[in-house]
Amino acid sequence: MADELTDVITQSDNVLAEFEQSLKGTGEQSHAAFRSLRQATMALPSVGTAAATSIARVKQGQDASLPPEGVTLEAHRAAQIQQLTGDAHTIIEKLRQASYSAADALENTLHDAILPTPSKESGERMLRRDELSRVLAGAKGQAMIGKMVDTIGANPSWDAELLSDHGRALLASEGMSNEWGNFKRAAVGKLMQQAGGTERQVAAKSALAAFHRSNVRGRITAYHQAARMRLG
Amino acid sequence: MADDPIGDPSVDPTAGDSWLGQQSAEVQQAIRSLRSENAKHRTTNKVLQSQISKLGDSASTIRKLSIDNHLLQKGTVDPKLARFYLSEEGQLDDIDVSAEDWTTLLDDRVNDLLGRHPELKGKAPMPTRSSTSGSTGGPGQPSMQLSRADAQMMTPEQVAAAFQSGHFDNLLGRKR
Repeated sequence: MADELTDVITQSDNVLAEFEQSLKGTGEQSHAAFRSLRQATMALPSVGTAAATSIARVKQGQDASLPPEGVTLEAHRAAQIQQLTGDAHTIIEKLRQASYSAADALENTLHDAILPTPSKESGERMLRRDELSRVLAGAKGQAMIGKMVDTIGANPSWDAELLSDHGRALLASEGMSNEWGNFKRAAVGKLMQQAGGTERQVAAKSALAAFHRSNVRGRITAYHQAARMRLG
Repeated sequence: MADDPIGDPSVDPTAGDSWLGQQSAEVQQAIRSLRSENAKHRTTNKVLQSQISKLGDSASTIRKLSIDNHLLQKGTVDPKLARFYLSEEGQLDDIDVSAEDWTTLLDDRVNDLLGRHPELKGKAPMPTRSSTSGSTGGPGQPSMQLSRADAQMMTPEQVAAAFQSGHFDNLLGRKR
């Protein structure tokens, strides 16, 4: 069993190391998110191993602690083991949450890196927003979201505006602020299909594809299971 | 052809003035004038060639200074170190400082470099310990050991960082 667990962890380590290579060019935030992910996932099996070693030491009477007055040695050891197991489970659960949170952050960062950046010139932006208002003219409610999604990919400058606070404001004006996340995901999905873009966008598209291919969240589950199984 | 020593390739007009001395005064004057004009052209040519070579150096100097200046203005990274790393990776070779969006491209590359080499970032000043903190320490001090109750109150990210720093070693009976 231990060998199988080691194999699973080694395999996941290799996949994540390979995935890290695909992050080149995606920006500082994605590297930082990946480091957080690695910090948490690498710690998971260690917690299980450390706690299991300590429990074995207690069972073998090598921990050198003495039972309080009126408590038998067996009861003292059982309490110690229970304490260690509970402590380890608490840390493992927190590390699992940290791992998934880091994976979410990494995916969001890659999504953001794919999005086009609006022009720095306010005049240019006004012009694009004016064009967009004509494109979206007459659309209301869900029809507007549909039209916004359909418009994505037609013009990078329009994309940049739709995916900026301007797009957010358009949704808010229709009382659909809570649709922002869905719209952004749909936009990223469409942009992923398009070739080209800036160096960073191309790198982010490739990294996002690698993120899904590597099954990062599945790897986290593997690390988590390994930690729990090592703990026993 | 023999009557025209200047046009005769077998006769070297620069071989000395003995031949020139045998010519008429008009010919001598014309030849001296041509030699003088030729010398001027040679000098001008040398000056121009020198300027052209300097111009080539200037373009690369302007490029280098533009990049250094931008890195310096960014202020997020040591320009020399960033230049070294980017050069090593060949990421400066295709930067054209005359292009409109070269700063965006360079910023993206520097940003990515900082992600891969966080040590290039300027280090923040060390926090000073307040007089009231005493010797109990804080999460930044490896000697401080945390309990399960502490872990339950901490965010998952804080727990991951604390585990990495060894703050849960006692809790898990971990020996380093």
